[in-house]
Amino acid sequence: MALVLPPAVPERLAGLAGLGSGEPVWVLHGPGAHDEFVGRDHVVRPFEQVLIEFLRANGYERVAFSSPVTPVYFHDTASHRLARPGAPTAPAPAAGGRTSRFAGPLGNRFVGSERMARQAAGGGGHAGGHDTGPDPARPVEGISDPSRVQVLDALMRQPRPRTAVVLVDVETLLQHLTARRAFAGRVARWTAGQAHRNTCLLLFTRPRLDEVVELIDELRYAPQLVSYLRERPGRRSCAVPLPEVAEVGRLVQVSRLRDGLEVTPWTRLPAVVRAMAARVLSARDWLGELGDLARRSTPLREAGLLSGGAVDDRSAWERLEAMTGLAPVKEHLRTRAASLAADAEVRSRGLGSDEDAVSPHLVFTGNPGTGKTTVAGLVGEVYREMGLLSRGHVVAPAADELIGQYVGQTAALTRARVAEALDGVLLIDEAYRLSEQPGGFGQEAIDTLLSEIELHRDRLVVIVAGYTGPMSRFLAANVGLRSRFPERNVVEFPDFEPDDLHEIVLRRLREHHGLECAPDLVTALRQVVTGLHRTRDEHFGNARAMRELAVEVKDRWAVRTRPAPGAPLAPATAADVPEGYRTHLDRGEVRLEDVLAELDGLTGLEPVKRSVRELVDTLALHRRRRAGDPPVPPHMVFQGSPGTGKTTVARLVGEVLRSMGLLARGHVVETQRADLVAGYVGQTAEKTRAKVREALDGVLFVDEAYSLSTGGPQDFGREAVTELVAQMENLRGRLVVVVAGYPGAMRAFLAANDGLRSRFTKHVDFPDYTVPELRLILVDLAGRRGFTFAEGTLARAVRWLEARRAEEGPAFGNARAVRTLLGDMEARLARRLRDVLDTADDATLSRFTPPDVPPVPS
Amino acid sequence: MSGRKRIYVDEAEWNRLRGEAGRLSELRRDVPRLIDQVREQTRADLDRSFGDLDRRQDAVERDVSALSERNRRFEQETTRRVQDNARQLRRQLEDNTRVLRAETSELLAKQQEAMRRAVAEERRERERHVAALRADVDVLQRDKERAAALEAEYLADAGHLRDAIAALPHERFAPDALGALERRLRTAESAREQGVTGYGLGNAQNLYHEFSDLRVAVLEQDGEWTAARGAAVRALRAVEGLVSQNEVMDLDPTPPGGRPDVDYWSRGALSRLRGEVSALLERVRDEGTAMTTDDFRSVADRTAAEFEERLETVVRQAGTAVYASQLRTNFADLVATALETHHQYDVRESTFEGEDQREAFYAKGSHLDGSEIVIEVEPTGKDGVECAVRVLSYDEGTPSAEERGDRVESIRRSLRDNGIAVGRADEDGRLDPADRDLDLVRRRDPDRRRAS
Repeated sequence: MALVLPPAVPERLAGLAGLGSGEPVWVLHGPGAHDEFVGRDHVVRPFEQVLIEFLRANGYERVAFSSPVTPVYFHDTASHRLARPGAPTAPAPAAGGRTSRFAGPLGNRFVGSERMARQAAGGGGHAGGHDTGPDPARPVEGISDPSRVQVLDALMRQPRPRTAVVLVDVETLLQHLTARRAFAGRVARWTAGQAHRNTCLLLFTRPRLDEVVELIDELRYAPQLVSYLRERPGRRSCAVPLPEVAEVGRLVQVSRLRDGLEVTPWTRLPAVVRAMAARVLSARDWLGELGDLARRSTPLREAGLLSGGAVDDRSAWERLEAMTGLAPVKEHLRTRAASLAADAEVRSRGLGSDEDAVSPHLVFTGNPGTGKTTVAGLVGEVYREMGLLSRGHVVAPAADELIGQYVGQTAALTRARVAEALDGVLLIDEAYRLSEQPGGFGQEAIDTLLSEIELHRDRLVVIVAGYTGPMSRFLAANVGLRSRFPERNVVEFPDFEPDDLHEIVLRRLREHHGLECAPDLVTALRQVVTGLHRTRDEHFGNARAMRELAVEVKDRWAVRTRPAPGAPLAPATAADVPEGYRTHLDRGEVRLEDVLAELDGLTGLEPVKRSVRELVDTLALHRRRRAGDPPVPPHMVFQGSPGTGKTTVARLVGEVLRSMGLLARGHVVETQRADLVAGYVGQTAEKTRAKVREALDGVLFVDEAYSLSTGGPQDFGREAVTELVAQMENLRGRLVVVVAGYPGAMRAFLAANDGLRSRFTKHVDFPDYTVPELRLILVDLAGRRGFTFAEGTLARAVRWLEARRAEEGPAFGNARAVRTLLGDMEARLARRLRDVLDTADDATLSRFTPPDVPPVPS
Repeated sequence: MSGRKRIYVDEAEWNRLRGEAGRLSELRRDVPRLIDQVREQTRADLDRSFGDLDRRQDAVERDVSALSERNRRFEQETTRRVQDNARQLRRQLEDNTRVLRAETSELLAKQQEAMRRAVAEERRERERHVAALRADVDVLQRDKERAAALEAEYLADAGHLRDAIAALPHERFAPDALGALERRLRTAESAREQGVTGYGLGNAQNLYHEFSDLRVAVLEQDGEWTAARGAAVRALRAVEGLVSQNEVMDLDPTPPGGRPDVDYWSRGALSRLRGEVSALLERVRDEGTAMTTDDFRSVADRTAAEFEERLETVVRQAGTAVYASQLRTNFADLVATALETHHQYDVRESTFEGEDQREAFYAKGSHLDGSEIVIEVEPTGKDGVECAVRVLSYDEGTPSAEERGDRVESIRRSLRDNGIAVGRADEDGRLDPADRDLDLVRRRDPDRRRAS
């Protein structure tokens, strides 16, 4: 039977037409069940009034309501008369207090106590509750539930007049009902065919039918109703969503006429209404917000009503086109949109089949900050403009938000977010995380998501997003996912190019932070973004990284300039480039000869110098022989005692390789075990990767590297080694790893790690310094600090170093021991001169004497 | 299973309601009207009583005027005093009808005091007179002739007094006293006629004085009796008047069905009281009544007061009954409202059993599903002021015992929530189909039902 939808029924209640199926019990569910509605007649009505209009237009002569508070009530006189023929339709005027309907010897006087009369008067209208709606002031009590069931059953089971019984807020009602068995029994009778042509409507505010059914199921007393609803859900329920575009447009008109809301300019209204409709807001809330605007005399145009910031009256397509970069994305979306539009057209002519329908769901792959969320919002709008979605808003939970802590919670969480996203876009960022934990609840989330996609085919678009690699693994792992998200629906978001990044960071500084950028800063930032881009990995934040960079520049500028109130603001300069980014700054041209000269200037280390020169020669030869394909610098092992110049040489090696164009930056990142190894499983690899990223295009110097393998089999050092090897392989040509340590220990270290041994092809031995070399180092160090030695002092110092070496053996610190000695001598000098500090001349103050040398250890 | 549930109204609530009812039904006293009425009704009685008294005193006067010169002055003086007192009494009775009953005793006491004073004065006069005579007698003893004449004169005066006393109701106040004096008088007369001397002048004088004392005493008591009877009549008339004034209850506002009839609401107690008052009044007014002055005083002072107290009780009981009846309809209304609001019954039909407002009140509600429910509010307790509310449900369909119990319990709870303090719902006998038909209830005789 086709049902009439009178003008009072707005578009979002089109599902009411399903009542024509003639089912005796119907569920209406959704956030709209508490809402107001603006029908095509532009009249604002509460839901119950809309239902009356609808039901009466479709042959229901009597419409009764039942709420948790008021067991039975009527909104229209006709229904009331038909249900309570004996009752007067208007309450008798009660002049001078309460009267009694029954006449006694004193007529209709009420002679009871004040309390009695007052309570009696509060007990409902004495004339039989004419048109009394629910009274929120009265407590919810189940005292009259047996009678509620009795009268609802009577209404439902009378063959005439045709009746609709509307149960309001059934969530509350079912939970507090006392006459449970009686109620369940009666509903079972109605569903079993004892309701004639009458209908019972159950109003729930839960957005989804399965949630409604779940609730009834949990209460455990109406199993027949549960199976009735599960049996043919589509024919026994309809959703009551929030207002759609057309109704939002009418809401604006109602507020304009009723509250005097100003709309300027009129031409923009359609765009404004479109944007408004994307918000998840009830008609009642809209009327409130619009009314507030009208009271503040604020035109709708300027209202901060819209979640997406200022209203843009360009179409979604126009805004997409205006976005920086993203050329492949734009092209891809144009194709998808055209395909979807064509598909819709074909299907509207009854051609094509559902199986071959073009899927509207998309996969966005790419690094963070590449505009996926922004584009997802535009996709929602594009789909709305195409008529594929009625609202087009975006709900963007992280994957973790869909996963619960206990069984069943995941499905509920997922369904809740889907419900929020209905008629719009569900954007799941880092979606691959759902499949990262085998056997975890992630799979449950995926399964729920798939069934939800199926359930709400025409009301939900899902976009899954994440890094390219993990996303393709994610999609490949699940057939269901792959069918909903076919390869052609994968949109790759490329990283921003250095020029884009440069533009973004400058715009942030100028527009968001209000800073003037000096030319040297502009240049420096170009070097920084170029360096960041070159060294980026899959975690690179793109636009997000530029926002962070801008914030750090501003912080540094603020500390440096300390702007005074009212004073002119100094521009930001290259000095404001944060420390962490400075490695990307050009250190100027470095000539190989200069670096090698510096190497030669080092005291001693002759075998080392020879070894480096050999390396330079070899690489130069390689470079000459393979034109255009630069040789790969080797990873190296520096073997030697502490203080034998390994770090210094590593830095020079980095400079050498940079000057030869074999490493882009050539900087050295010094690390030790503690920088690479963490306390928990899985953390060590990440910690190691972080250091590797820091050293990218330079040298990773791992001091005392043998300590990574001296722990037991459970030691996380091994994890660091494994990760290091992997990174060396991945970043071939962009990273030189130098492992350093005592010769014996390093030999054992390499012997125990086959993978390592084969990758460290260059071994450099750092011999201990000879005593004369140590003496030279001491003279050199002291000379740089302006000290001289009185006669006999150096001899005493040498004896001290010899004794120390004899005592410490292989642990002797070499140059480090010299620096320690110099520090001690300085302290003794200071102590000695303490009393003559003011009178002594400069020469005395900076001349070491033999007593300044610490006593030789015995 | 029975659907009949008895719900008692809380006792404290009823005590409070009873107090309210008492305040509403005060005894009505339209005093100015009552005084006029009593004056009107007692005037004839007083006229008659005091007229008789006057006539007797006039007759005495006549007899006294026949006395010898020597005694006449004193006797006339006494008679005048008594007559003055009687007139004074009547005037006071008439003037003081304003004071209905409370001061009757005082009034009579004053009158007695006045009489006593008068008689005492007379006695003193007589004693002075006798003392004067005694000097004469001593002289006269020597003059036999004169003494004999004087004796004869005293005896003749005694005879005149005897005649005067005989016209008075002396037997009522001094039974046999006159007979004894008469015998002595006859003896003295016959002795004197036979020439026997020796009875003597002194004896004749004494005899005369005794006759004189008797005459004064009877006159005094006659006046006293007449006044007491008048007071009794007047007090009973006042009660009669009060009864008449309280035949119906004056309520504000006047109930639509008119002012409630006290005799009806007191179930005949007012008629019974009126009958007793009338009977007593008849006895008081009866000329041949054997009632004594004390009897009259008791009637005026005590019996009339008791009647009035009884009248007050009757009127208050009637008022309370009216109030209780009204409350029964009010309770039914509260129950009906609760049934309509919370249980979806429409309560339209109602009646008092046998259409008698003093009896149980019934109201019937019908439910959409055909079920019916009868509210019965029945007077209970020794004075019918308390009530028991019963809710009799006649369920259609096939509600289970549990469901039926739930419904009754929910009704009990909603009544309690609506201000009717109710106790536990107990089983109360079997459900009587006769209670479901309010036409039957309207026609049936409550007394017969109670008897069965």
